[in-house]
Amino acid sequence: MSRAISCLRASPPHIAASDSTTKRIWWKCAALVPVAVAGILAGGMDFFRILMTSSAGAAAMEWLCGRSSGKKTTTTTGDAFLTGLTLAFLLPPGCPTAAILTGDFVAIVILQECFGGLGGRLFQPAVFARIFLDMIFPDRLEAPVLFSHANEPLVLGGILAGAAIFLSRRLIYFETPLWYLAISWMSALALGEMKDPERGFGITVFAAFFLITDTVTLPLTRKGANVFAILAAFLTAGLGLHYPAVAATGYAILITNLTVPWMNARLHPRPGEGS
Amino acid sequence: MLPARTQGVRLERKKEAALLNTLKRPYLIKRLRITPVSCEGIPCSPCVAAGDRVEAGGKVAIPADARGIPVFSGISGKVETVGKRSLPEGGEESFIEIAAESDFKQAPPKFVTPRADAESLSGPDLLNLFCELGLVVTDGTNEPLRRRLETEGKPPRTIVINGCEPEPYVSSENILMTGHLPEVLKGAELLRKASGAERVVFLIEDAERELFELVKSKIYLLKAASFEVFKVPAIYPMGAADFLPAEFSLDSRILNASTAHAAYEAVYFGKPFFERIVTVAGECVAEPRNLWLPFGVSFREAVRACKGFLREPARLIAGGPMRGTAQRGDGTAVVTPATNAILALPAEIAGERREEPCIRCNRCVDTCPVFLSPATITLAAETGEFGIAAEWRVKDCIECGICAYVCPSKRPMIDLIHQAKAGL
Repeated sequence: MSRAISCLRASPPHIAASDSTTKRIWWKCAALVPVAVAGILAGGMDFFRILMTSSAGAAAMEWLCGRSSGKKTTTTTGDAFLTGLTLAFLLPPGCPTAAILTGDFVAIVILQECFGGLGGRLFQPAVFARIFLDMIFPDRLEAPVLFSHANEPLVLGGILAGAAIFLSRRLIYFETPLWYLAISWMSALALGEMKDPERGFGITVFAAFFLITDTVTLPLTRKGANVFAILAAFLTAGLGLHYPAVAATGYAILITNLTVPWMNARLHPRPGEGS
Repeated sequence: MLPARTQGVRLERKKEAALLNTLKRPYLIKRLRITPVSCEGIPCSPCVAAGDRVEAGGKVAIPADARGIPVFSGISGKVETVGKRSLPEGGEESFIEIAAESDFKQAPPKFVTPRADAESLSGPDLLNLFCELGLVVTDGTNEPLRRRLETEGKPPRTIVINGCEPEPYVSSENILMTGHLPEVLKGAELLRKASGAERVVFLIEDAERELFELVKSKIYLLKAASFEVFKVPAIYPMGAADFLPAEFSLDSRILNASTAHAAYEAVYFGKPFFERIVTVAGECVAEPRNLWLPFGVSFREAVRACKGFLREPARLIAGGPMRGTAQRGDGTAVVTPATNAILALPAEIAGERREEPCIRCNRCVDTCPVFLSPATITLAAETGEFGIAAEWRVKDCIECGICAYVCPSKRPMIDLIHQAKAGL
C-alpha cells in the first residue's frame, strides 16, 4: 500500500467486452481465406498476383495517408487490407497492375481517407472502386475469376465455407444475408434470369456475405440492415436484366448505400429488435 | 419468474472470489474521516470539537433542521481535526477526523439488548426513529430513509427489497441476505409498517438460485403472508434500482436489503447508522471479501484489511465497474453510505484502451436497454450536432454504460452522451 497507485480519473464503465474493431475486421479477412484459396485454385497465379497487389496496395496506401496527414493510422485494424482483398475478387483475370492500384487509390484515398477515414465512407469501397474502373475502362474489364467459376464445386465450397465463418463469428445479423439471398433468387426466378442457377447461387452468396455486409455503410438498426438487403436484392435482380452480374450487383449496392441516411432517419430502434 | 423483456448484456459475475471469504469486521481501523454530507440541501455541521472523545455510535454532526439526518462515529476515539478542505472538482466540504484510542483495537459496537416494544411501534414512530439514528437509503442516492418512505397522500402499495446486484464483483447485498436473512426480513416488515405499504416484494437475480430458495423458504417458514419473492433475469442493467420491471417500480418504494438490515438494527437495538457492508474486490486485491466498514474509513485501510494489493491497480473504483466512480490513486477516498464496493482492477481489465472510429456495428443499438441509438447520438455529439442527439432522445439515456462496454471501437460513449446532454 505504500506505493502510489497510478490510476486515472475516468468515466465508467471501467470494464469492456473483449470484442474489438481489429478482431472483427481480421475475422472478416479470415472468412475470405477459403474464398481466396478457391480463387487461386481456379484462377491460378494470375489471381494470386491480383490478390496480393490489391490487398498490399490498399494497406500501403492507407498507411501512407496516415503518415502524410500526421493522423493516427488505422492500418493495423485490417480494414484497408480487407477492402483490397474484396476488390481483388471483383477484378477480372489479367487485370493490369496499374488498374489494380487505381482501384485501391479510389477505394482508400478518395472514398475513405477524404471522408474522414475508417467509419467515414459513404459507399462500399471495393464495389465503388470496381464500378469506377468499369467506367474508366468500359470495354476492357471482363467478369471476375470468382464470378466466372462460381458454379464449380471448389469455388462454391470456398464461398460457403467463408459464409459459415462469417455467420459463426456473428459479424452481421444472421438474417440480413439470408434476406438478400431469398429476394435475389425469387426476383431472378420471376424475371426469368435463372439461366445458370449454380453460378448465380455462388455469386449471390458471395455478394450477400462479403459485399453488402460492410457495417460502416449499413443502416444503424437491425430492421434497417434487413431493409437494405431487401432493396439491394431487388435492384440486383432488376439491373441484372441489362448488366453483367458484377456490374448489376455493384450498382445495386451503391444505389442502396445512397438510401442509408434516409433509412437511418426513419428506422429508429424499437423494443424487441435487438440481438 | 419475470420474463426477460429487456435488452442488455449478461455480464461475467466475478462474485465468487469475494463470496468464498467470510464476512468480516476489521479490528484495526485506526482513523476515520467523516464528511457530514448535506442531504437534499439541508446542511449538516459538526457538533464535536478537536480533542473531544467519542464512542462508537456517538453523534458527530447534526443537521440544520429536523428534515436532515445526523452523522455518527463508527469507532471510539478522539476527535483530531474538525475542518474544511477544498475539493478537486471545486467547492469545499467539512470533515471530522477521529483517531482510535490507545490500543487501536476496536471492539465490535455493543448494541446487544433488543428492544421489547419494537413490534408495537407505529409508522410515524418508526419514521422518527429512522431519522434520529441517521438512516439513509443505501442505493447510492444518499436520500434519508424517512424521506423515501413517508407519503402525503395514499401510501405506496409495495416495498421492494431489491436484492439484485447486476454489476460484476459486487456482492455486499448477497452476503448480507445469505448471512442475516431473518434480520433483513424483520427490517423489511418494519419498512412496510413505516410506509403503510400492503406487501413486501423481494427481487433476486435468476443467477442466484440458492439465495432465491433461501428467501423463499424463510418467507414460507415465517408464514409472512404479505411477503413475496420474484426472480429477475441477471441481464445488466435489469436489477439496478433505476431499471426494475415496471410492475415493481410503479406505486412502490425500492430499497436495498442493507437498508432493511439497518432499519432492523436501528429499531431493535437502537444502533445508529454508521457502518455498512462493502465488497472489497478486484483482481488486484490479495484477499477479496466483504467487510463491515464504518463510514469515513479510507479505501487504503479497507484494502489493507484484505491483505493489501497483489499488484498495483490501474484503477481504483468506488462502486461497481459499470457505474462506479474512478478514485484518486492514493486511496484517500472514504467509505460513505453510498459505497457498496471498492474495486481495484488491473490494466488488463480496466486499463486505457485505444479508441477507433465507429464502424456502425450496431452492438450499442442492439443492447441499449432503453432502445436508443447510442451510435447516432455520440456521432452527433462528436460533430456538435446536439439537435440530432435531442431528436434521437438522448435525454432518455440512463447512462448504464452498456454501449461503451460492448463497443468494439472502445469509443467514450458516456463522455459523448454527457456532452450531448449538456449541449441541449
